[in-house]
Amino acid sequence: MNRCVVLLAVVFSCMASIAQARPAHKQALAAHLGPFFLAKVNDCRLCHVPGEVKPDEDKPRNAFGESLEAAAERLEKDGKPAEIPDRFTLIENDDADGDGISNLIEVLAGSFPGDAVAMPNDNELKLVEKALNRYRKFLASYPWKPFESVERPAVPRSPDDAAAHPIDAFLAEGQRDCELVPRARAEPGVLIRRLTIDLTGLPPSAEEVADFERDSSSEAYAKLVDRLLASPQYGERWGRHWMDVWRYSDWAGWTGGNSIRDSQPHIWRWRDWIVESINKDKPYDRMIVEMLAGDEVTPSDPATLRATGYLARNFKASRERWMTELVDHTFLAFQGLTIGCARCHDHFYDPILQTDYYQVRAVFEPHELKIDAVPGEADTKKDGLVRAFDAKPDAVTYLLRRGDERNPDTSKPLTPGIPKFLGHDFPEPQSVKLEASESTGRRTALAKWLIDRNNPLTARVAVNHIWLRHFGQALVPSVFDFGKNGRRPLQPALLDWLAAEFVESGWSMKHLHRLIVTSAAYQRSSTPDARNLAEDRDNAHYWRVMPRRVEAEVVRDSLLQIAGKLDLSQGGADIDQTQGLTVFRRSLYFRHAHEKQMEFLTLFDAAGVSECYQRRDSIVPQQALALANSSLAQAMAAEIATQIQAASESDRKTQVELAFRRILGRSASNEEQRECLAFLVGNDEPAKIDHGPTPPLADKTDGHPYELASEFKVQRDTNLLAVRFFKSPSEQGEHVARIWSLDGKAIAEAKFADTKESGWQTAKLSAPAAFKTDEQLVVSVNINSHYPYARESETKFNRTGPAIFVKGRYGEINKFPTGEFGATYFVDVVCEDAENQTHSLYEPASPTNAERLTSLVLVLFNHHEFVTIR
Amino acid sequence: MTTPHFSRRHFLADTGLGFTGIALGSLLARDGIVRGDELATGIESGPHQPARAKNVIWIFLCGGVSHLESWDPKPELNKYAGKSISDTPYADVEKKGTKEVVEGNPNHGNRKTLMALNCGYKQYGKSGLLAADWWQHTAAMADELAVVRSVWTSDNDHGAMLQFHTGRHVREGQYPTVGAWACYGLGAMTDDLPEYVVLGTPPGDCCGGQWAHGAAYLGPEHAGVRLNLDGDTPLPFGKRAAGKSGSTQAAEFELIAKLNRLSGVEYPDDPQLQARIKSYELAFKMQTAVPEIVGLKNETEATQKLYGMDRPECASFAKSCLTARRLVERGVRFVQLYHGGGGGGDWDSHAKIQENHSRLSSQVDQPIAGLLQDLKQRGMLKDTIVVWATEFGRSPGAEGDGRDHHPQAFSVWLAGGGIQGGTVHGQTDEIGYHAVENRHYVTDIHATVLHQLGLDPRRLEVPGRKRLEIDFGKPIREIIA
Repeated sequence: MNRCVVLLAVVFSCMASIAQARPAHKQALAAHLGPFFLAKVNDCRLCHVPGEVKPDEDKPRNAFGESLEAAAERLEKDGKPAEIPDRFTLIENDDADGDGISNLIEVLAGSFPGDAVAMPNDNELKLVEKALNRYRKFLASYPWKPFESVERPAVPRSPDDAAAHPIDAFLAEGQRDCELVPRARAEPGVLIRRLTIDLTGLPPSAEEVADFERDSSSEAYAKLVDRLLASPQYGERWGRHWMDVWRYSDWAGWTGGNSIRDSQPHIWRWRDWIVESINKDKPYDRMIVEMLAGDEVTPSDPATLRATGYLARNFKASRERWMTELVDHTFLAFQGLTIGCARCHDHFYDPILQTDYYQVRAVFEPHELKIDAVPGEADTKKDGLVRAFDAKPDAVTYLLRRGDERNPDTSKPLTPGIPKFLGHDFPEPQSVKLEASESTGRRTALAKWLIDRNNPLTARVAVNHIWLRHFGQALVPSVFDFGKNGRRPLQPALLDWLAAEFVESGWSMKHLHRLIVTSAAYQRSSTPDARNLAEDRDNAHYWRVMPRRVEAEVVRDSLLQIAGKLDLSQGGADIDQTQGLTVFRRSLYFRHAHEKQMEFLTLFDAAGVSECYQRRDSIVPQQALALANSSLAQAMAAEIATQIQAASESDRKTQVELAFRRILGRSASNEEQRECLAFLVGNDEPAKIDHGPTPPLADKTDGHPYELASEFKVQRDTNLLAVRFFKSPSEQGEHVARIWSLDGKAIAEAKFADTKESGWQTAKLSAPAAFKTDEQLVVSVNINSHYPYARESETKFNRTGPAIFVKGRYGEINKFPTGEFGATYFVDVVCEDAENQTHSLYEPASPTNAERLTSLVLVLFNHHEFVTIR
Repeated sequence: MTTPHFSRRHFLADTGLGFTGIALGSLLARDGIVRGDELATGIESGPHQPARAKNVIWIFLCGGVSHLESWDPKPELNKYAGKSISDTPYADVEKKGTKEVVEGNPNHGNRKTLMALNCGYKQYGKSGLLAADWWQHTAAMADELAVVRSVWTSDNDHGAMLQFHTGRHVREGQYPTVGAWACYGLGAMTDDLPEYVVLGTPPGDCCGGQWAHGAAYLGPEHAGVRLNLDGDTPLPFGKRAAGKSGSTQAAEFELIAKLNRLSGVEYPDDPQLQARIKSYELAFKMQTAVPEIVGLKNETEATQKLYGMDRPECASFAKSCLTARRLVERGVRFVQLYHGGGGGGDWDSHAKIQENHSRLSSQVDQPIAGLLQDLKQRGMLKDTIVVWATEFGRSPGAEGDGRDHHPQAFSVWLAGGGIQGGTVHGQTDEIGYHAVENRHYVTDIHATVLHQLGLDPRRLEVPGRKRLEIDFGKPIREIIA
């Protein structure tokens, strides 16, 4: 049974055209009826009959539609609100189509109340009877009114759990109704890892985990929370989250100099302002003011001016596009409103008029951007401070008909303003006297309007974003749309309570973090159980913590952190994105711009540069390859393996344990221990030819090509099957192997497959070549630029195979090589003995213990848990 | 009561099948065991109905291709060009059709002045298919095509790209795409490549982004996997570290699989974990399989020419089409081939449609025709459905020298896989404004494709996930051979 599955209010499929359709009406009814609005009646036929539609007339209605329309008049006459829910309530017990069943019952049964032919059957009627109580309860539940100011709801207190954390008290109701049994608190090790990654974007060290596990005091968790919130890495982690919402992107730099496109040069100063502000717990309302109007409120403070980098985003493919995106995204980010729809027409779902849109635009119309010189650097191409200022205080804004910039309505210049339906007034802009000019004060006015306690959306939207990032699921799933076309929260009272708490704490994010992470809901185990899962698969009621993949930045930073290689220095100019695998700074400091993003991060779904209100998490094989093959993962694995080796006194069990604790923050289970030990020991498997050896000098070059060779002697009759050579990492091009007799006659040839891979390459002979005991031959391969090298005396050769190495040779490319240098170049043959066993000239190397340990570390990097918050 | 979804995964974990559990799962799938109802009733034996096709190549042109200048040319437009619709015999056309379009953006639409066709047209093939000159190569394959001229959608903006793949309006968020359903229903036929591969650039985030080949609640393991054919690294980080042998890495990956499966005991129902386990199995094999697939060296010059590899304007898409065939050959179930993706799509020709469509069609026409011919001559067309689609048509009325979005009617064609070639199904009115006969919402295309694959869309349902009537669509019987 899925009693508690949340049915979504469905927007789709109103079969009517624009002039006549009222999808907003259907939407309003859907919102009113919530999960009781069945898909079967989510249809225009609910209110309308098919028929000829005349321009500018409504689609013809059926009896129910007419009745709903008439209800409006009755209510209006009595001076009562006449929204769709009011109208429906007024007529719900009537029987519009006269089939003997009331409107309400028909709708709940999924039948059309305006169609006398469509009637519910007995079974459906029985179900409705049962549902009626739940429907009444639903109507009486806490209303979701995102456009009305937040009123702090009382915390629901049940007698048996009076001391519960307020968040848990709010959640308990839904859990009880759905008969969900919330999971117990997670193990301490899981908890500290979850919390540390969540608050700092980095995993805890093994020592931190151990300390926390040992500390049984009741304050241990609270102390941990305080420590993490106070760490400078907190600002980087949560700064990056807000960089998503505020659409941070670096400058792509295509156009050189001061020309500005797709963000601004030196915009990283805004990034630093974000990180610093978050670390200082600067109140959110103050942050909004500084980002929108830092140049007006503190015109002479360069530190604050950095905040106006917010206004520079996407400046400017065209001024038109810049203004459009600024208006759209300011409302998406701070208000959760899709105001952009009103650029061309009045909003379809929310009461945003087209003039509202252009009045918001008028707020921004006067401003421009410039780059101020910074101390010590006069050339603003090299460094500078990107900032906003009002360049044209008299700039006029007109409504653009149908959003077309070629078609402004010049009859009515528009004053700055905001959508009126949000209920509180736009403060009159006060112009600000600056040194040499004047600023209109319009942006300050907008900021003040946004942070006014009566603004219903600012706090709700911010709290929802913060909640989303703590839990991986949002209270309002449509994080940028709190309007009627968005999705309503299942826990509206909780959201309102948190919003009130946020504002009353002085807009303190740290207060909100502390509140959320100290709830039981946040600390629950993430393991599922069948019963709960059957009731609430999506965890809509927070009976557990949903395991989720960590963000791209966390994947990369964790690799570095665990190896002790992460450079924790903060701030500064963006680092070239191509250096992501070799420069060990935190990921947020690398260039992140259109067409200039670190591949390692984009593979793990890094933020989109033009907007990203919520990351989209994919799981694709390319991520596996990045963690298994990237030089970064390889290097960090080798580093950690060396450290573990040193700390373990070569005890393999200790090595496994240390690896688990460092990388996954927990001990290995018995079964894991067993598997990993077997892996480290390698089961004494016989060394295979393709294991090695690895040349000590793998990538030597003299700047010209060679023919490099091994001379060998057959000591037992053999079939020669294939030729091998070790391809240097920088070596490219075609490779052909040749077998020569000692007098320089070419006997056989084999071509290697073209590959970009380095390491041992094998080319089969077209047919096995038989050789007799005591024959002496040369095998050579052309080298185009780079080759491997070792002294013969320092190389281990296979002395028991059918063929044995005599000496190395070199010479002119594609010719029989005659030179000798006491060196070997890792050119090899594969021979078969009488028992069909294969052998080569070099002694095959089993991976050393150090190599196996590095492999084990790499394996743990690739463990699901490594990229998961549990 | 048992909890069905749980049981199968429990089964794998509890019986200690470990690594082989997954292999068993894919073996079952390869044997034609179909999921869908499995979750409710246990593993079902046999597909829903006999399959006529095994693979799909789904070509999607982003931005809205003019139906008028492709598969539904309207001579009347030339006759009444420059006239307002109300001054033609078709004055009432706009009002006639059923009005299903939710015009979220009325800036689009309302183009009243008819525009002449921007290219010529003629009849092709034995079936006499009327098609535009811009598509002459593909049209020459007319007798393989079933053109549906009466498709409609309900979003008049480019969110229709997502809608075309999920059947849901972009505002409703993420839903499983047709490719994900196909793979979910049938499972993989290959172990070394993803079952669902995506080539080309997907729509921008405005219009669905990677959701357009996503799996939503079916779990990320059924989402499309992108391969990038443009650079020289189709598979980033696809090379083993220097000196690491294949067998060493195989041992590493085997241990990863073992350890991940051990986590599965605690998280038996975690779709992310399932997806990760699968992604590692694939990743290892893709290191060799992908370079082999995208290296076209083994293809003869004649084949490469057939696709147009020798013509600079279409070389890129030719490579995609040829790679699509190679992927299908190696058992990839569903290949989604985007053209002109990013943002709202390249085909979005509000201005200069003449320049835009002639340029873009020359990039894709020969490669698509080459793909059809190649599949045919290799005997692969009978098992492979090729779909040609876009998110909506373009308006009969002019928008300057371009055409506007037109969700009221557009054309899609299908070929191969038991589809009746040489068919035209459905009809628009004389000026191509409304689909007036045998109208089909986009999910009817899904249903047709799934039907040919042996799946009944109605039985593709996951407990707790409500699907609407309109999600399922109905197979278009008239174009099935």
